[in-house]
Amino acid sequence: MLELKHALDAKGHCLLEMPSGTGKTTTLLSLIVAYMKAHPLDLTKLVYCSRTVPEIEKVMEEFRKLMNYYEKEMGMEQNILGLALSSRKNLCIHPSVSKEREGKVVDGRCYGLTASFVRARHAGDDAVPVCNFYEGFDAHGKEFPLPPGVYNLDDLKEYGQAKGWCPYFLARYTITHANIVVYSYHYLLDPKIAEVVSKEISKTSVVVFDEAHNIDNVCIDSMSVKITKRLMDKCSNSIQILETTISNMKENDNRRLEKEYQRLVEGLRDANIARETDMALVNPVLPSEILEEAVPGTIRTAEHFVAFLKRVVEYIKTRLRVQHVVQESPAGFLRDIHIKVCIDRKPLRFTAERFSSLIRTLEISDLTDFSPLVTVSHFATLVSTYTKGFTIIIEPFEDRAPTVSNPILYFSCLDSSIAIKPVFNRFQTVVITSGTLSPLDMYPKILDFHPVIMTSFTMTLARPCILPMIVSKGNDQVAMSSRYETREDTAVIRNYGNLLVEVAAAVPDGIVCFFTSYLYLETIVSSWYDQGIIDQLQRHKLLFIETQDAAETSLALINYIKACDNGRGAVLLSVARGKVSEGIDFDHHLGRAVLMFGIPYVYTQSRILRARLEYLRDQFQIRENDFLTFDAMRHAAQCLGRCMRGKTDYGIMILADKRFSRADKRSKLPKWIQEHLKDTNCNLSTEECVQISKRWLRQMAQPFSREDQLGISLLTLEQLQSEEMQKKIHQRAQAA
Amino acid sequence: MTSSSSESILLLVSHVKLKKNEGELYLMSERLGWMVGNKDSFNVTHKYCDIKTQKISPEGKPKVQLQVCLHDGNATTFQFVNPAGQAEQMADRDKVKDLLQLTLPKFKRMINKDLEEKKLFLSENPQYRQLYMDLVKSNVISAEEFWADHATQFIKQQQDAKNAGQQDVGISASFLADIKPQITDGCNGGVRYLLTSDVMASIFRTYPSVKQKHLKCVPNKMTEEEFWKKFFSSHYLHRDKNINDTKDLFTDCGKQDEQILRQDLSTAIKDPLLDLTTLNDVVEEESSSTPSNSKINNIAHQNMIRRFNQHSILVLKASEQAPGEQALESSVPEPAPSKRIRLQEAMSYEDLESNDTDPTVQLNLSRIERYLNGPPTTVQSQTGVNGNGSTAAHFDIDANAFKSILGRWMRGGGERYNPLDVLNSATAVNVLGELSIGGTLMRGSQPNSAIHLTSELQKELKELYVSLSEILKHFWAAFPPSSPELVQKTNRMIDALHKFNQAKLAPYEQKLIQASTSSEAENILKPLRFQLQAAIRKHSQLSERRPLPRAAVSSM
Repeated sequence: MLELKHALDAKGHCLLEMPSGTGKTTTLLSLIVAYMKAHPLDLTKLVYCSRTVPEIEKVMEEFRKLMNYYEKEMGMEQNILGLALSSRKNLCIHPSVSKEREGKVVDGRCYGLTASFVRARHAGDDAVPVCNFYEGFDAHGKEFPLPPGVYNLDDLKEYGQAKGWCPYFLARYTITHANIVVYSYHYLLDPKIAEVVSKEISKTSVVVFDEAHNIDNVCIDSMSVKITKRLMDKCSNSIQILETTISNMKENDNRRLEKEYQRLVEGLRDANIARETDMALVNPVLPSEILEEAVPGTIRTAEHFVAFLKRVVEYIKTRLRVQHVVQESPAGFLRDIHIKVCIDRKPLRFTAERFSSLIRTLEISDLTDFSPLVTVSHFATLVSTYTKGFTIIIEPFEDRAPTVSNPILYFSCLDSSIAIKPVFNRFQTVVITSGTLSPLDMYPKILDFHPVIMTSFTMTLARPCILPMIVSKGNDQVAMSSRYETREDTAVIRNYGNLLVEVAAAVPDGIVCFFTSYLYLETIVSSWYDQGIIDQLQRHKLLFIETQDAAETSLALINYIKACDNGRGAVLLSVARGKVSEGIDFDHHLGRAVLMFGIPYVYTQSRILRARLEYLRDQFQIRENDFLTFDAMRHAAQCLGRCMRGKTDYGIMILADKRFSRADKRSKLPKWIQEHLKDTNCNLSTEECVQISKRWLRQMAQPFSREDQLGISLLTLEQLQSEEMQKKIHQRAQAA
Repeated sequence: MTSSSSESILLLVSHVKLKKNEGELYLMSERLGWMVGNKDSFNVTHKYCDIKTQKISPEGKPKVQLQVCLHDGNATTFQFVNPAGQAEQMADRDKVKDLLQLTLPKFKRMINKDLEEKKLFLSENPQYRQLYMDLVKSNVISAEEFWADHATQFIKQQQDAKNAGQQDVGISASFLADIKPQITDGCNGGVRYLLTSDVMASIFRTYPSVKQKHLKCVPNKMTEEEFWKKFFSSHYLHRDKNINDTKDLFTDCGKQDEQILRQDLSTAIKDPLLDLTTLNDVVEEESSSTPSNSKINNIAHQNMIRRFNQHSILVLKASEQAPGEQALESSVPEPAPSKRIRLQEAMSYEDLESNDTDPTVQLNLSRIERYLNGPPTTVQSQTGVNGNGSTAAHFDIDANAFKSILGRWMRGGGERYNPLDVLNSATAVNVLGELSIGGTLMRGSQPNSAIHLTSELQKELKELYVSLSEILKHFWAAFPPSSPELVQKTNRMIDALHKFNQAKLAPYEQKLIQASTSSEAENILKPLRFQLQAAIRKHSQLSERRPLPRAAVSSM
C-alpha cells in the first residue's frame, strides 16, 4: 500500500509483485478508491485490466465487498459507479443472438441487427429485424445514467433485462463516466479495440494491469498478423462477392456510392462521426494522423478500391508461393509491392479505413464472411504504418514437416512497447502487477518505461505453506533434464515417470504436472505407456491430460475436479504456456503438488522468436540468453503459482530439472518462492524428494486454526495498533 | 502329540513346507495342524471354526500352495513339496483342498454378527454398559427391551451403518493394467491374460458399450472365451491402436464411446469458471480453424491421450452411478452453485470475517424465582404429561405470554437498548438485599446437611440416578397412553420400577444406613423415591380410572 501510495503521489508508473491470495486486488481497490475519495480532482477513474472473464468477475465481487464495507462504516450510499465490461458474447441478452456460443458470430449478428443502415431500413420497413434492446437503449438509455453501484456482468444483464436496454452498449456508454471500470486488457492494449472502447477515458486515471506477467506477449500479439494460404483463398472469394454487390448496387442505387465518394473526398473525419454500432470494423493503428488527410484518389471509388484489394491479395498470394524462407523488413516489403504491382505506401495505409467504409456503404450486415479480408486490410495498414519494430517472415512449410506445403506469412511485432506506449503516455499512473513478475527489472526494459516503484513482496505465513524442491536426479542417479540432447533419453523419461508415480503415491488429492510443450507431453506419454508407467500411475490416481482442443480439455478438467472432490485423487498432465497454466487455479485439494518437468523454454528455433531476440539485443541491449531464461522462468513460476492461492492453502512444488539449481535460474524465481527454497532442497533425488514431501505433508495436514495465525499472518485490531507491530511494519517498509 | 491323540486323524500329508521348514500336515476332526517332521507337537494348529476360506495357487505357478485365511485376518500358507514331482504335489494339495471343502461348512460358525456388534458397542460406550449391567443383569428389564428402546445411540449407529453400506466401491483406475499379459513358457510364444470376475465387472461398468456387445454376441455368435480374446486385442487394451480397423469387433464400441464423449462436450461444460473456450474475452482470429497446423505430427499419440482421458472420465462416471439401476437419475447433474456464490467463496477468508454475533438480548424475567428454582415440583399433576386437555390451554397462554415477552426483548434489544431501563433503583436495592447472605434467594444454597459419602457410594448413587431416570423417561414418554401398546408399555415400565425398587434401591439404602444414619440415607434417597412414587401414583390413578387387565400384563 505504501508503495502504491508513493506511485500515486508521484503520478508515475509502478511494478508490484505480490503472491496470489495475499489480497492484491483488495489492496489495490481499497487504496485507489480511498485516494479517489480524498483527491477527487487528481484521480478520477480506475481502469482495472485483468486477463480472463472469471478474473474480471472476481475483481468485481471484491469491489462489491469493498463498497458494502464502505456503506456499513459510513452509513450511507457511496457515490461510486463501478462496472465490468466484456464482449458482446458475455453481455448479450437478445433472445436468439445470445444463444450463439462463438464470439465472432455474436458480434456479427449483433452488427446485423444494430448497424445504422439496418435501423434506417427498419424505420421504413417494419419487416427488417432489429434488436429491441438496442432500440430501447438508444431511445432512453443515454438520458438516464446508471445509478451508482457495482455492476458485474450478470448485474448488467439483469439491469438490461429490467429496463429493456442492451447491456453491452449501456456498459460501453457508461465507461466514460464510471469511476471504476474492469475489463480485459485487450480493450486497452489492442489498438483495434482500444480505439472503440477506451478512447474517452480521461488522463487522470489509474490503470492497473493485473496478472500482467505476460503483458509483453499480449502487446505483441495484438499487433501481429498471420496470413495463411487458406485465408488468402477465402479473401479471393469475398472479393468476388464484393464485386457483384457493387455492380448490383451500381445498377440499382448509384447515388449512395456517389455520396460515399463525396464523403471520402472531404476526409475521413466526417465519415467517422461516431456511430458506435458501425464500429464493427476498426482501424488497427492509432489513426489520428490519418484522419487529418483525405483518402487518396486511387481508392476512392468502390470499384477502384476493390481492384486495389484484389491486387494486394494477389500480390500476397505470389509471395506465399516461395520455396524458401524469406525474412524482410516492412520497408523492403513496401518497396517490393511498389515494384511488382505498383502500389504506393499511402493508399495502403488507408486500406483498413477504406474497407470499413465500403462495408458500411454496401450495407453488408453479415460480417463473418469478410473476416479474412479484414485481416488482410489490417495487415496492409500496419505494414505501411510501422517500419520499425516489425518484421515479415514467410515460411513455405513447417520445420517439422518440410514436405508438406503450408505457406504462412507472419507479420510480427518485435517491440512490445509499441502497443503499450500510448497507455503509458496517456495515463498518469499505470500499475503492473502479478503473482509472478520476477525478475522485475526485465519489464521496464522490454516495455520501455520508467517505473517510480518496483517491488517484490513476500508472504508472512504462520507455517511453511509451500515446499519448493529441485529434483535433479532419479534414483539411479541419472540426471533429470529436458535439455534438447537428453530429452529423448529413455532413462530420463523413465526417471520423470518414476518421480510422478512416487509422488502420486505419497500426495493426496490432486497433482498437476506441467511439461514444456505439447509435443514433449505427447512423446513422454507414449513412452510412459510403453514403459508401463501409466499403468502404475493409474493404480494410484486417475489420469487426465490436456489436449490442444480447448473443449476436450475443459471436459477433462471438469472431471479432474470431480475426481479430486470425491476423494479419488487425480493427476492432470498439462503444458506450460497452455490454456490451463494461464487461466485455471488449482487451489486447496485441487493441487497439492505441482511438478514442473523441465524448464519451459520457448521453441528457440522459431524464426519469429529469433527475430525478436535480435531486435531486443539491438534495441534494448538484452542478451538472448537472459531473455530466454527470463521468459522460461516466469512461465515456470506461473505454473508453480497455480497451486498456491492463499495462506490457508498449501502445496508442494517440484522443479524436476537439473538446471533449475543453477544460480541464474534460481535467482529468477519470485521472491516468495525463493524464500522457502532451502539450499538443502536444491539437488535431490526422487527418493529424497518423496521422503521430504511425506514428512511435510504430515505436518501440513494438522488442523490449522485461527489461533495459530493470530499475531503472524492474522492481526487483530489491537495487535495492529500496538507499538511493536507498528515498528515492525515501519521496518519492513523501510527495508522494501 | 498330546492333544491330538484323542482326535481321529482324517488325513496326513507329508512334505509340506511352512515358512521354509518341511513338515507334515494333519487334518483332524476339529482342526488342522502342522508339525516339523521330527517333533511330536504341533507348531501350528487352526480350528476349523476359525478358518474363513482356503485359497490355492493358480495353475502353472512353480509353487504348489494352499492358503488358509482366518477370521482374524491372518493367513497361513502351506507349500506342497512332494519330491515325486509337481503332479504329485498337486494331488496332495487337492486332497487337502477337497477335505477342507467338505469339512469347513460344517464348522462354519454362524457368527452372530448382531451379537458381536452389540458387544462392541457396549465396550465402546461405558455409560450404556453400566446401564446394561444395572437394568438387564438385575432383571429389571429384558435384554431385547434394552436394545430396542433404551440404547438409542446404538439404533442410530446401526442405521448409519446400514446407510453407509449402500455406498458402492468405485472402480480402480488401473483395472485394465491389472490384466497384465503374462508370457507363459515362451516356447509357443503365447500371451496369457488374467481375467477375474472383478475385472470383468469393472469393464462392464466402465464401458457400457462393451457390455451391450457382450450381451449381443456372447451366447449366439461366439463363446465367452472368444469374446474376451477379441477384447484383449482391441483398442481398449492397446491404446495406441488405430480405431478405424473395420474388422475389429469393438470398432463400433469405440465409436459409440466417442459419441458419448462428444455429447458430453456439448452438454457437460456448464461451469463458466472452467470453460477454457470462453475464458478469453477477445475473439481470436480464426486461429482455431487451422487444425492441419501441428496435428500432423503424431495422430497415434493424440489418440492415446484422448483415450486416457476418456478412460478416466468413464471410470469416474461409472463410480458415480450405482450399478445398473439409477443410471439415468444420477446422471442428471445437480445444478452447479451459482457463479456469484462461487466467486465470493473464492475470495472470502473465514478468519477475516467479523465474528461478532448479533447484539445480545437482555433477559427479562417476570418471576425470578421460577428461573432460579425451576418449576415447583410439588404440582406434579400439572406438569403437562398428564394428558388432561387443560394443558393445551396452558400452552396457548404460555405461547402468548412468550410472544409478548419476546416482543419486549426485541424492542429493548439492539442499538436503542438502554441499561437504565431494566431496573429501577428500588428494585435493584431490593434484589441486592435478597442476593446477599441472609436474603431469601441465598437460603436455598445453604448446605442442607453434612453428608459425606464415600466415592464408591457416590458412584453407585449416580448410577442409580441414571438407571432410574432412563426407566422413568420411557415411562413418561408413554403418556398419554392412548393406544393399547402404550398402555402395555406403561405397565411394563411400572413393573420395571417396582423391580428396580426392590433390586437396587433397597440394597443401596441398606448400605447407606450402614455407612451413616438412617435419616441421612432417607435424605439422600428422597429425590429418587419421590420420582418413583410420582410415577407409581400416576400409574395407579390411571389404572383406577381405567381398570386394566393387569393379569395379562404381569404374565408377560
